[in-house]
Amino acid sequence: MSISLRDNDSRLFGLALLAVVGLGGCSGDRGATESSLEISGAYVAEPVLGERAAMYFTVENRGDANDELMGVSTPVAGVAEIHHTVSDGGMMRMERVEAIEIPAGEQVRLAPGGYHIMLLELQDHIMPGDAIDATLRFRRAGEVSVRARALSLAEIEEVIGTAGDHARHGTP
Amino acid sequence: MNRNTRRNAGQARPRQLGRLVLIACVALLVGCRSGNDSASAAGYRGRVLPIPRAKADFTLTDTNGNPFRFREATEGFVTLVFFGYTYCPDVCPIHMANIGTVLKGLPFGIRNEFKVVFITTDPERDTLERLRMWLDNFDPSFIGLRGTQEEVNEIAVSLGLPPAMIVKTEGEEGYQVGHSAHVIAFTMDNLAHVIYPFGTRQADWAHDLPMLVNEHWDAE
Repeated sequence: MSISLRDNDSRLFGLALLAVVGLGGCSGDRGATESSLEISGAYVAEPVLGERAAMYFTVENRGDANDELMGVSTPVAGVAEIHHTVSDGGMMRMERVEAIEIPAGEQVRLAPGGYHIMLLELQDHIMPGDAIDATLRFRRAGEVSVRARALSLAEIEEVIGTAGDHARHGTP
Repeated sequence: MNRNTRRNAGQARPRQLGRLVLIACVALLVGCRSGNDSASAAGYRGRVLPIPRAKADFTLTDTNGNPFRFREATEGFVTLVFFGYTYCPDVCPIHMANIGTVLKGLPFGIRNEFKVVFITTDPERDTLERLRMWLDNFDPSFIGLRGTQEEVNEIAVSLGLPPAMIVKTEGEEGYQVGHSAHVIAFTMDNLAHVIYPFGTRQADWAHDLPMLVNEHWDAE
C-alpha cells in the first residue's frame, strides 16, 4: 500500500529515510558483508496511465565484497522487474536483467535512461508525494528495506540533474 | 565657433570609441548567452546539427482518426517531433513532461507557434485512444500519430534517426520497443537544425524554445 505523505508526515518520511540509512551504517559490527550497503535517494516516477511505474535508488557498497541486487518486492506492485535501458547509437530500448552487480567500494545509481525497477500490476494509485515501501534483495546482504517517494515526471530532472551519468547520449 | 565644435568633437571621439567597444563587448556577451543573432548557433543548449535535416513529407493517422499530413499541417510552426511509446518507462514521459511544463510557462503568443508531434513506435499496443489519454497527461494539444511499423520506421530513417525496433523478451512485457532518445526541432524553414537528447532539462527548453521561434538561420 502506498502511504499518503502530507503535512506532518513528510517529516516522518525524512526520519524513516534516516532510519534506513542508519541501520545500514549501524549493522557494521554484525559482519563485514551485511554492513556494506547503503541505499539512498529512492524515488518512484509517477505512472502516466496508472499501470506501471519505475523505481530508482542509489546503492553504495562500502564493503570489500561484491554484491548483487537480485530482486525487489513492494506491496504496491504485483510484479517488480529489474530493467536496463540500453542506448545504442541514439536508439534506446529496454532490457530485462536478472541482477545488477554492486561492486565493492562502488556506487550504483539507478536512474532514468539507465537501470530501473519496473513496477507492474500496480495494486494502488500512486500519486506524487506518496511514500512507497519496498524490500530490496541482495545476494550477500540479504533483504534491505527502503522507502521511496513518488515524484511527478516534471520533478524527476531535479533528482537526476546532478548526476549527468545518463544525461547525454550519442547523436543518432 | 566652428573650430571649437570640431575640437569638441575630436575630444569626444576616444571616449565614444571606448563606449562603442564596451557596447560591442556587452553585445557579444549577451549574444553568446541568449544566441539571439542567428549566426551564433552555439547559443543553443540543444545539439546543433552540422547538416540540417529536411522535414519529411508523410501522412499518418492522428488521435481523432484523421489523416495528418505532416509537412502541410506543421507548415509555419516550430515543430518538435519525438518517436516513442506509451509503455516507455522513463525516457518518453520525462521528455514529454519537460516540454509540456515549459510550454505552459511560455507567453501565449510564443506557445502558439509550436506543434508537438509524438509518433508511436509501438502501433500494436498504442491505440489512438491510448495515445490520446497518455498525451493528455502532458498537454492536450500534443499531437499523437500512428501508422504501421514499416511506415514509422521509414519516417524515422528519413529524418536521420534509427528505426524503431521490436525486441522479443521473456519478461512480463512480451516484447520491447526501441526508439530514438532525441527530440527533433523543425523551425519555420522546415529544417531541423537542433536536436535534443534525453537529459535535456526544463531550463534548457525554456532557453531554446523562444529562440527557435525567432530563428531565421539566414545569417549563416
